[in-house]
Amino acid sequence: MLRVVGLKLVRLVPVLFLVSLATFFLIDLIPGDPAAVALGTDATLEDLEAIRKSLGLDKPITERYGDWLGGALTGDLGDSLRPPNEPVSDLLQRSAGPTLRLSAMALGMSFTISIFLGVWSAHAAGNRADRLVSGTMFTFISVPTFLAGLLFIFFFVFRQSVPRYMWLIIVGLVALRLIYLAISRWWEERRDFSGWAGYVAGALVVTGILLWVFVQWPDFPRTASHRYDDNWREQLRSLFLPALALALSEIAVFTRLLRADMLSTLQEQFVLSSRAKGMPTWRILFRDALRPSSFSLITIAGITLGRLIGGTVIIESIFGLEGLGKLIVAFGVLPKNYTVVQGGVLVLAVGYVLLNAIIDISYQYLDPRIRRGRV
Amino acid sequence: MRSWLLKLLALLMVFGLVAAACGNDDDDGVTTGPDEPAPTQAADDGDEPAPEPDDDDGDEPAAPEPDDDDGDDDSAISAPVEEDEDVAPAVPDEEELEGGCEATVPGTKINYANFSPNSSMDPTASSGSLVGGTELVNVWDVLMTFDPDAGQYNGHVAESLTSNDDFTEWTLKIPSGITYGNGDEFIAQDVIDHMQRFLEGRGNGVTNTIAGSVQAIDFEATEVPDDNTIIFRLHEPWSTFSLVLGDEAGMVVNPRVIAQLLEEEAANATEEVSAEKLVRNRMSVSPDLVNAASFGPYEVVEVEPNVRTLLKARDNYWGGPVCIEEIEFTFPGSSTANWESFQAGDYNAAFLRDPRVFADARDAGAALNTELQNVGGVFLINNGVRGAERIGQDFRIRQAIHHAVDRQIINERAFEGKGIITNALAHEGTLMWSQELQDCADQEPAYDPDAAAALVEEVKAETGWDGSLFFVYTDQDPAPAIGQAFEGMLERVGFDVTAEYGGITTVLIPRVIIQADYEVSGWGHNMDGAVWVSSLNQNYRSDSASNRTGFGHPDMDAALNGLYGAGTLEDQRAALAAVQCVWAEHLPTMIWSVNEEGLALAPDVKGVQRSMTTLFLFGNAYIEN
Repeated sequence: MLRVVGLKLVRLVPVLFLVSLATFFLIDLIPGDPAAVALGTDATLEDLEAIRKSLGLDKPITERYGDWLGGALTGDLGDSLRPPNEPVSDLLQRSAGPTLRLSAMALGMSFTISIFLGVWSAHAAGNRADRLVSGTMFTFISVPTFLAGLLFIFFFVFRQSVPRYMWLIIVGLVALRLIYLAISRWWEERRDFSGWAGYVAGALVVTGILLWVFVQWPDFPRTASHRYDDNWREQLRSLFLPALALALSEIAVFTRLLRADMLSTLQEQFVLSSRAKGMPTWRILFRDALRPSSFSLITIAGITLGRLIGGTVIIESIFGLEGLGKLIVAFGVLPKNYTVVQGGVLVLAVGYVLLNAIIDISYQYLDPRIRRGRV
Repeated sequence: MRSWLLKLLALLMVFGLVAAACGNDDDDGVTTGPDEPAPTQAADDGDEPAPEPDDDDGDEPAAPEPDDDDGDDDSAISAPVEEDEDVAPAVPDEEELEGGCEATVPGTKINYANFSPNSSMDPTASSGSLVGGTELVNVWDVLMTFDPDAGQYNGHVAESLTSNDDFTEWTLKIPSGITYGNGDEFIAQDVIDHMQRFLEGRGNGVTNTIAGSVQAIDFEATEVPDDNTIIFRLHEPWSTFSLVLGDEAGMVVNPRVIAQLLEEEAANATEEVSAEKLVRNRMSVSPDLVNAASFGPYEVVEVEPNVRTLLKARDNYWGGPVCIEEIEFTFPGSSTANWESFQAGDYNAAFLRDPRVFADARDAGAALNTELQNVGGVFLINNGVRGAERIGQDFRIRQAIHHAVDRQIINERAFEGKGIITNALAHEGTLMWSQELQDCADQEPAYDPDAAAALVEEVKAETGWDGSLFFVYTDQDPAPAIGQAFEGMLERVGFDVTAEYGGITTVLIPRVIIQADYEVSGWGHNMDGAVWVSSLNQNYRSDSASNRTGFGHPDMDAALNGLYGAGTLEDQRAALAAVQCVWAEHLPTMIWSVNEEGLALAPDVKGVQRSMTTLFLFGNAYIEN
């Protein structure tokens, strides 16, 4: 096992080297003078030459890359060129928190919603509910993240009665559906009140929760630029819309993927066997069929998390969130602050490849056939 | 039955959505509404009544004693008004000093949406008032303030600032009893030490307007007769000298703290990184150092350069109790985002700087505290900076540019027609405007593309120039729209424009300021209500070391000299009109718009004082109960 882990980690080295090399050369192509960033508005031509020399910008690019790499290998990512020249590692540490929280929230939302919808859609394959879910998912996939962000701002912040009353309508529909099911059950069970009472209780609880959400509907902020380090509720409130905007397309992908895998799993013999034994539907779906159907989901979730962390820049800009993406673009790429870009991209690349390596390794645990080298 | 029910529900849902989308949410946290008072310029200019005094509050810190024996002369603060005229007192009056904050909502906080995040808490390393100036002024305090509407400088920390008859000698009086955060007493020599440090940090005033102004002081001859008095001697007469003490040069940093830090950093300094730079970097990120070296109404709690600053009220502020307990400065991302966030209730103070946003804000009835920045939109023409050969040196080219550009087209393209266009150094309605000035401005070439094309052809035929013109501008909204409209109009009359759009620090500063490698720039300078004399002298004087346009002419120099010596407002208006007449004759640069900038404030935020270069002081602000 250790050998497998070691091999995976060794394979990461060339990937990271190539990423850092490509970033360094690409950032050099951006117009502008990094020395001017270091000087600010009070620079003179003499100052510019002096700072260029002190930053090593007069050296050939290969030599500069070598200097940077030497520092990075010893854990020194250098200082930001922009005054007050803070260490890049400090900047990254500060910006990583909001981005990780946002990405984790988006991923959590995606999983929660897509598992429910994917399983339900597979269970109800071909009927109206399945078609509704599929249509909705195609809509979600078609909406670019930035547009989703802007739409959410418009509706959840400035026209919050629209989503709120939509929710109320959904509550009404769910309640009606549950009443209908309860009456059907009562009729089918020849007016057996014990079964019916269970349905009514369930209907009341579900409707009650949905109604509670309607009553407690929060005021979502337009920006997520405030810090709520000691108040998790405020953090959730401020990150909800950006996370939902990020999660939208992931929900669609996860749901479609899980639905397809679930459909295949539900045809397996062990599922038929469970059904034959009279196991409840929820148990068959969530305990028997979900686990073997989740391989593709887990694989894609790893890739997604890496993409979310690196790709939050647009959402961070729209919602004013001071995260890693905004740091790299606004304080790195645009002012040609190449030490920040190099450090940021390296950290993202390390996170991304490590995450995927962990997922690769986790297959060993999830599937005994892989562990035993049969697949 | 089910099908019918579903259809009915779907119909209801659609109807509900349409109804909800068409209406305005009343409960969505919008802080302003149609019932609010009509928007006015300078809605809160510091004249708001102070919170009710509390005579029983014996815990408040002792305030500097107003010196009643000095008579009116010492309480009068500087030109442009007559010297014996009473102006705002140097220190808050007794009621304010002894007053509490009972009239305010306890535990109040200002959430302030910035124009641009602050990069440094050290005033000697600041990037200007728009980039963190308000944070700085509330932490460091400032010697003088400027009332943009009255055009008058007032003492803030300073007790008085008076001049001799020809404005070559200025006497600054500071009060006793003010102490820095570390307990050191604020004395007169500190002002001089701070100004010299500021000047050194600004490349000796080569590029910075205020620093360039500080150069006017003859430090060799400047005197500090006692701990409360400084006599500034200037190289030339200067009636608006007060402005120097109203910006970063007037935000005094305790020089003893700086000396100690320099001593500590001496060992870490290298050939590339000086001890002074290391000290500036430390000051930028360390709240403790800033709090020890400052005496302003607020202390720094947290600072993340270029991201966020959190301030809290100083317990023992020399000016009396500070009613608003915290101010958090963050940056939503743009003027539009600032306004939207303000509307959503995320902020109760938002800096705005876009005509479209101001139009929306006025439609919404927001309370605005703004001012017009003259020469806000300008096409800077390179007249041969530092002796370089540039096509803009040819007067016919400058004429052709003026003929070619229709200001209203740019306004339509960039601001949906909501901007304010002008051809004058001072726009009508601003303090320095006069009919004489406008008459001169109207002598400038009018929009006439045929005349422009003829001039361009003439220069091409005569000099062999191929029509090429290098134009630089920022890549941030709305600059690209302005630039593209400008390019289009020039191309139409025969110019061959090559444009470069980029960041201010990475492209414009190197191109325009450092290398002067441009023909026309959309970015250059403006002239707000206080710094207009410095700005004009910096950029259009033949002997200015920091002349960004390269323009120089004896007539302009003579006209600019008149500005320095003009004592009264009428004299200053007349002097500026004379500059405008020379301007119209030589067309050094093309002015096309006035910028409005300032704060949208929640209706319950009172007492915010606007000073020069749109600095906002929150020391006397409160949130109405």
